[in-house]
Amino acid sequence: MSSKKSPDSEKTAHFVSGWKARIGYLSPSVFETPSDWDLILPKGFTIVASGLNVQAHTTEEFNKAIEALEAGVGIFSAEECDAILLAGITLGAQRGYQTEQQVVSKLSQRVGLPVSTALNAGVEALRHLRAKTIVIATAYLLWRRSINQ
Amino acid sequence: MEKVNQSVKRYHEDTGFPVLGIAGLDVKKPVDQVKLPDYASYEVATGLFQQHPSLHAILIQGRWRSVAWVEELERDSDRSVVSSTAASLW
Repeated sequence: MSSKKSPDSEKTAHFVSGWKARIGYLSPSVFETPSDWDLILPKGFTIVASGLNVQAHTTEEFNKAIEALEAGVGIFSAEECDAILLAGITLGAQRGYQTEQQVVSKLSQRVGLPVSTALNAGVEALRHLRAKTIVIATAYLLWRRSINQ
Repeated sequence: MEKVNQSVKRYHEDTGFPVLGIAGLDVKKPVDQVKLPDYASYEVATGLFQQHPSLHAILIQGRWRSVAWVEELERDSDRSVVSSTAASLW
C-alpha cells in the first residue's frame, strides 16, 4: 500500500500563482526583486513584469519608451493579466497629466484591461487623504536635454 | 538640461495639488535608484518637511526604497505620507 497521499484540495486550492489577481507591470526599465513590492504584495497576487528598455533618463530614451507603449501592453493580455500598471514617471512627466490620462484610456480600450500609472496612483492616494498641499521626494534630478542642445 | 523634478512638479500641479517643494538626488539612469541607501527616501522627505512644515502630505515617488519608511515618516512628521509603490498597489 502506497504511503503517498493526495494533496489536500482545501490546502492547495490557492497554490495557483496569482489566484486573486495578476498585475501586469510595465516598467520603463526593469522590474527588480527583492524590492518594496515584496513588503506589500498580498498573497494571491502576482506581478507579471515587462519592460521598455529605458537605460538612461534622457529625452530620447523616454520618447522611445512612449512610442513602444502600445506594443508593450499587448503582452499582458496574452498573459491573462487582470490589470496593468504603467510604472515610473515616463509618460506623465514627459507628456503631462491630461495627455497621460488620454493615452491610458486609449491603451485600456485597446487591450481590454484597466490601466493605471504610478504617477496617477500617488495623486489618487493624495486625493483620498484630502491633502491640500504636498511636497514630493524623488530620486531623480536631471533627465533631459532641450531640443536645441 | 531640464530638471526632471520640474516635470514631476508640473504633473502634480496640473492635477490640482499645490506643490510646496520637490527634491531629489542626482540619479540619471534607472539602475542608480537601487544603489541608493535604503534610508535615502526618508532623508530627502525629512529635509522637505523641515523646509515646508506647513505641508499636509509627503509623496515619495520612484523605484527607490520607500515603503519601509512610511510609518516612521508619518510618526516623525505627523503628516500623511504616500509611497508611490504602495499607492500603485492600492
